[in-house]
Amino acid sequence: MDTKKTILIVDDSEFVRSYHSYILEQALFHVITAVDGSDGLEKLYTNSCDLVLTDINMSHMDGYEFIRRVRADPKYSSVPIIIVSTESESKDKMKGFLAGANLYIVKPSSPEMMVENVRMVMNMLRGDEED
Amino acid sequence: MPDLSVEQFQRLSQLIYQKLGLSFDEKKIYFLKTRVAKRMATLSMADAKEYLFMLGYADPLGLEMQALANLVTTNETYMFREYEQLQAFANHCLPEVLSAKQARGERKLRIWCAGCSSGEEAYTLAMILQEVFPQAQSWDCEIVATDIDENMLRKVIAARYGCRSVNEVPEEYREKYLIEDGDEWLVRRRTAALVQTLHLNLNDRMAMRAMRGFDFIFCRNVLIYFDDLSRKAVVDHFYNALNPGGYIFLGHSESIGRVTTAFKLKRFENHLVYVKE
Repeated sequence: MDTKKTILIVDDSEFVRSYHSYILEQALFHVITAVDGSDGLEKLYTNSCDLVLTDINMSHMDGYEFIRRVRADPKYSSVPIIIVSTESESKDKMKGFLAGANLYIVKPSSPEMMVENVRMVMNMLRGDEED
Repeated sequence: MPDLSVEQFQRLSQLIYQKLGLSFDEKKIYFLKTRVAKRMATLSMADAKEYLFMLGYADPLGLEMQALANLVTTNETYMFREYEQLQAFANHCLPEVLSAKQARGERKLRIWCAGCSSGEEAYTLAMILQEVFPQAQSWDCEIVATDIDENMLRKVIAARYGCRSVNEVPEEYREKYLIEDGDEWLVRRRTAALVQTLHLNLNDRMAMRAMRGFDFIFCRNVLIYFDDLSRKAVVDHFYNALNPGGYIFLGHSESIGRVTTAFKLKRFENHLVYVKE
């Protein structure tokens, strides 16, 4: 039985999607990708995702709106969401947390840190569920 | 400054070589000493032995090695550096690759600036790309700027430069692609949007394997820090990262002939470039 956790990567850069997919697949995650927020919602609704990594600045639907819509749906209100963005100001982070993100990673972030952060958020939220 | 014995220097350069692939011989003992002194002062450490122990055994995520790497890599660069080589790129290589793609019905272009430092080269390429190929905005074009130094990558993201960085930018480019802001210059949003930044250690085999599908790699004045063995490993990764027909641009005085014969050497005007057939 496949016990790999599934991560949804939402990013409008084809390079970033493919790079992060490779890094996370090497860390034994299963990865699916989406090109923007609306594609992200579609992928989320049609797959079983254990965690979402999302960019902020995307056309069609940006990361904040994507997260707000995910959180508004009771079925997905507890899926862990990590924002990965170059936007480093406090107001951006605050906006991300208010939308419902669990963690905000400011780029640049090394591949090791990316994987560690994904594991940390997954473990942390699993711990919350067990309590 | 810490008293670094010959053995300690050798241990330190061995650790740096293992983690970063950068090679420092004994002529660099003073250079490394000053960088280590900075790190030790930040960490309130008095003994180099203690620092070496931490670097070797108590740095599982490589955070201290990263902090040291930020200090030992050289970052001086400016826009439109090695102008003639850029002319070979703009006048010959780029049009050749673009027309081959157009003939195949492809609309995607990838350029990798490996060891991008503060980003001047990446933004230079973004300007040239927009100038030579105005359709770039309607294609899927990405210039991926990678460096091991996180502080430098933050500068790339900020896209804000002092006069020294933009001195060589031709006037017509400056007007089109930069905005003057006090005594600094800001890269216009449309141009900056072509550049993606990524933290990457060229010695990290796993991360290097994730780099695929590039049409051009610029790695100018970076491989000089590597010895033949790690230079060969990096160049082999570059080969795999390039699409067939893709080019690699090295610094004016650099050659990879000693470490690989995989690339074909081509001459454009006065410049030699390597191409993957």
